[in-house]
Amino acid sequence: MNPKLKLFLLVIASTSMIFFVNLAFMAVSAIVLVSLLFGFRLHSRFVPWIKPMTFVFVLIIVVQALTFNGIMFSVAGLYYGILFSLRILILASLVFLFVETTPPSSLAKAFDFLPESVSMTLILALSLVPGVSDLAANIMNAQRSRAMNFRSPNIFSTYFPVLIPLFGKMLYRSEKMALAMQARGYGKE
Amino acid sequence: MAIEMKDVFFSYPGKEVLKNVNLTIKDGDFVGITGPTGSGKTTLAYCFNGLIPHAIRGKFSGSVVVCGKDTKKNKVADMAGKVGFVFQDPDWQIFSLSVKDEVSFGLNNLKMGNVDKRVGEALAMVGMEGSEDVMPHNLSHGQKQKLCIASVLAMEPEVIILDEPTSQMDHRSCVNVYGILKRLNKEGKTVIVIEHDTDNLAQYANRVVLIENGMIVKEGPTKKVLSDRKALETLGIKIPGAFR
Repeated sequence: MNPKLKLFLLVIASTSMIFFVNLAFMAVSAIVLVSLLFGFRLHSRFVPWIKPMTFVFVLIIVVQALTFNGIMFSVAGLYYGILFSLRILILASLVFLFVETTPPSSLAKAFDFLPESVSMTLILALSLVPGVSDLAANIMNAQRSRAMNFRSPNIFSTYFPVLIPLFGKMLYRSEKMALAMQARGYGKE
Repeated sequence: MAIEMKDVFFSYPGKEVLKNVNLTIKDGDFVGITGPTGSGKTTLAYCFNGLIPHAIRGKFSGSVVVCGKDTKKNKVADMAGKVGFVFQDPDWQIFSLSVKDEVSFGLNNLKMGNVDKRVGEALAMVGMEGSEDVMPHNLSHGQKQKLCIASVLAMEPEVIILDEPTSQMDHRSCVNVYGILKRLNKEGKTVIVIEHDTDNLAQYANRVVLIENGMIVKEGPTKKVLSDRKALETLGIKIPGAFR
């Protein structure tokens, strides 16, 4: 399918998820998406991808159920909690389907109708994702090998030794990348 | 002349990096630049394509003329068609989502025609034909380095500069890359390599520049420079096996 058309459909589907807050609509969308995931044989990759977000879904449902009607449990709150979680799940699945079923080169073409500087920024951001996750994993392993405990309750002190080198390295890389792009004629009028 | 540097001084804020550099590189030379870490090799190379003084901030004086173009008067993008620069770490420069897009990036910037043909030829030169649709992130380090070389070759520059191209490569990939460079040099390209491994320079370069503390301490034919035991030992540079 044409990547631009696919991107257009993604935008339409995502927008409708925001405006039609209706359980029946969400349920039908979820069934269609699950069928697509199975149809493209992506279900086995989707489950581990979405798994880390389970905590967020549960948190949304619990918070909505307990705070919707004052500080007490309410069925309406539970209903809206499920609705909001389902909405995020569907939006995430839509993006997953779009990225997984579009070859990288077509992904770049999907954005070429945007102003050049915007599409370049999007392509740069997309291309950096695998690099950043690899780098973060390497830094975490390096800190682990120095006996760092990532299960410490203090999130700030836990992630500082990862985020500082990660940001430092990414800033350095982006600076060098800008030089490399100029060296290949980027910015020529 | 491919490159003519006269009385070049450059300093980053608070640190003088290049001091009175005078250097001439002839068309078709294969030049190796070597020296201790932090001696100013990469900074020197940044002067060749105009990154200094246009993109890297600092105090610059002197003149650098590359392929007849004064780098002070021409922007980096204007120099890009004449001088190709391969950075030390391929991850600093690869950003596209496919090999083809990466190689065609410079061609599109310079508005060069026959993009598909040039991309195919450049990839064939580095032995990566048929990999146009591969995502660069999935390539090995050696292949990424070859991709960077191909993306520069596609622009058909007269001078190719490589900053420590084999620093993270195994021996086979290293031989492979230098084989490509030697072939390009035989075809008439001027090749400049910043390299720590003097064995590679002894084997492939026809001229060597020794740099220390921002100054050229010795320059000349490879054998003459790399067999100067005293100079190399003083700088802590390995004496190549061929000249021991």
